[in-house]
Amino acid sequence: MDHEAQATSPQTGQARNVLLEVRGLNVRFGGLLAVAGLDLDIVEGEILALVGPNGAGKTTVLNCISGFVRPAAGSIRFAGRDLLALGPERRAALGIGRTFQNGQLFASLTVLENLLIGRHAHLRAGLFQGLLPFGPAKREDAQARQRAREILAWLGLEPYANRVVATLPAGLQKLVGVARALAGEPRLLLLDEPAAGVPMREVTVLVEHLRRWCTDLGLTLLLIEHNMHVVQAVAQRVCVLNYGRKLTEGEPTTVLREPAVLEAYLGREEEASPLLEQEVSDHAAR
Amino acid sequence: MLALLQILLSGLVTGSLYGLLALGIVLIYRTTGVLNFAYGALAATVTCFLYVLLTGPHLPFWQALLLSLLFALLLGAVVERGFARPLLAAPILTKAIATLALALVLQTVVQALWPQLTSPVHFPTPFEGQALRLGGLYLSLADGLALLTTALLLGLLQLFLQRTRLGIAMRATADSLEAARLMGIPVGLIFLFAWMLASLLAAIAGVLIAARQTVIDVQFMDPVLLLAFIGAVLGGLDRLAGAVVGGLVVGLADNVLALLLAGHSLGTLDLGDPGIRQTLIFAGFVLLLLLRPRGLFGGAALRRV
Repeated sequence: MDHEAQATSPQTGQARNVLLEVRGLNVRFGGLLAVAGLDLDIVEGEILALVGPNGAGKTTVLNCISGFVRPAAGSIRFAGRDLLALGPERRAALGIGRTFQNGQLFASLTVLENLLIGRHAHLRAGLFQGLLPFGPAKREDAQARQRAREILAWLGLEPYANRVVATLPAGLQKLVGVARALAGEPRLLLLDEPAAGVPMREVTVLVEHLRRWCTDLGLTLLLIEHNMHVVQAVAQRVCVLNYGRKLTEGEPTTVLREPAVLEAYLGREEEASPLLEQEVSDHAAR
Repeated sequence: MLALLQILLSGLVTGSLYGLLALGIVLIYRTTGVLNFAYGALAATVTCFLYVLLTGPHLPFWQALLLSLLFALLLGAVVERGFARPLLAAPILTKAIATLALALVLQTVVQALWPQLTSPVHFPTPFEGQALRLGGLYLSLADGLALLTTALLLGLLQLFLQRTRLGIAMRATADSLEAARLMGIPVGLIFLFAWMLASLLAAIAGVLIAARQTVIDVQFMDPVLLLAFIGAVLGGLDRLAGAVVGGLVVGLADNVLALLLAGHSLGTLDLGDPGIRQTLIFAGFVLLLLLRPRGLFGGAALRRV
C-alpha cells in the first residue's frame, strides 16, 4: 500500500482512498462494444451499486476487474497497482473477492469445503505438502477451518457447515457464495446480483449483512443489483450503465429519479422485467 | 447353493475390476471433461511394458511392477501435457473421439516396439496356479488380490479426496473450473495430477486383469473397457462411488448370466457363448438408459458439471 492513490486531506486522518480506479475501459465482443470508455472510482469503505438494463455491460465490468475478460483499452488500478497485467488468481490474492450471478459454487463440496477453497490464495504450504499427515500444511489447515467456521457463524450458516451445497435452497447458496468470497479476506468485494433468486424476506437479512460487512470488516463493496429496494437500502452511490456507457452517477435517491435513467429502463419495456419497471416507477413516484 | 455363491464371488472379482477401471474413467471425466476411450489402451500399454520387463531382462516381479507403475505415472503425465491439455477447450465429443485416436496411437506404438505382443502371449506372475479355499469356495490368489487391491484403492482414494487439501481442490476444480482458478488453485497441476492418478489406476487394473487371464496381447483390454464404461455410465459418470457400484453390477450380471445360460441353447444357437452374454448386457444397458438416462444413481446429465 506504499503508493496508494490519495484523494484527500491527511490532517483529518479520514483518508478518502480511491481503492479501485477504472479509466477509459473499452471491451469488445466481436463487433459489439460491450463497455465504452467507462471511468469509475471506488472509494475505500463505500458501497457502490452498478445498475442498468440487461445487457448494459455490468457483469462485463466485473469480469474485467476480476480478470476473466481482457479489455480492448483502458486501465484498472487497485490500491495503486495495475491490475490488467495480472491473472485472476493474482488479483484474488491482492484482495479482490467476488461472487457470481449463477453462483459458480463448488456444488458437490460441503459449505465448509467451499470456504476452505475460498481461502486457498492465502495458504503458503503447497497442495502436495498437504498430503503429509503432519507439518506446516496441517497447522495451516486447522487455522483455515477455524477461520471458515467464524465466517459461517457470523453469517448464520454454521448449521449448514457440513451440508453439500447442491442440497441447499437457492437463497442459502447465495450466502455461501458470499461466505466463500469473504473467506479470501478481500478488501474489495464484487457481488453479482446478490439478491437475485432470494426470497424477499431473506433479502432484508442480506441487506443487513451487506451493511454490517462494510462497517465491521472495513470492506469495500461493488454490487450489481436489479432489485431497486436493495440498491436504495444499501448503496451509498449508484452508477447507471446503458449500452456500455455511464449514464450517470451519484446518490441513489436522486440518480434513480433522473429522466435518462427511467428512459433507459422503461424505454425498452418489452425486455425489462415487470418487477423492475414497477420498482423504478415506485422510486419515480416518491 | 455353493455354485451360486461361487458365481457371486467371481462376479464380485470381475465387478471390482470393472469398478476400478470405471473409477479412473470417472476421475478423468469429472476433472477434465474427457470421456476417455483410450483408458483401456493406457492400461494395456503399461501391462505390456511390465510383460517386456518380466520376459526381456527377467526382472523380479515386484521390481518390474514398481518400474511399471512409475512408467504409468510418466505416461499419464505425457498424455495430459501432449494430448489432453491442447484439447482442453474443445467440445466434449471432439475430445472423446480424439481419445479413440490416442488409443490407436498407443496400440500401434506398442506393436512397433514389441511385435511379440501382437499375438497372445503368456503373462507370468508369481500368483499363477495358487488359490485360497474359503469353506467350500475357491478363490484364485490373483482374484483375491484383485478384490483386496480394489477395496484398498477405493478407500485410499476416498480418504484422499475427502481429507486432503489436494483432494478437495481436485473436487472443486471438477465442480467449477472458473471459480477454482479464481481462488488460486493451480488447475493445470490438478489436471496433470488427475491424469497421472487415473493412469496409475489403469495400470493396476490392467496388471490385475492380466494376472487373472494369464494371457495378454496388445488389445486385451478392449472388451474389458467397454464393460467398464457401462459400469461408469450406470454409476452416473459423476460420482466415484457410483462408478464402483456400476462396475460391480456389470461384473455380477456377467457372471450370473453365465451361470443361467450355460448349457442352454435356442435352436442351433448356443446360449452359453460369451458373445450372447455380452449382447444381453448391452441390451439391458440400453434399456436401462432409456428408463434412467442419468444412470442408476446419477444426478447430472451427460455433461461436465
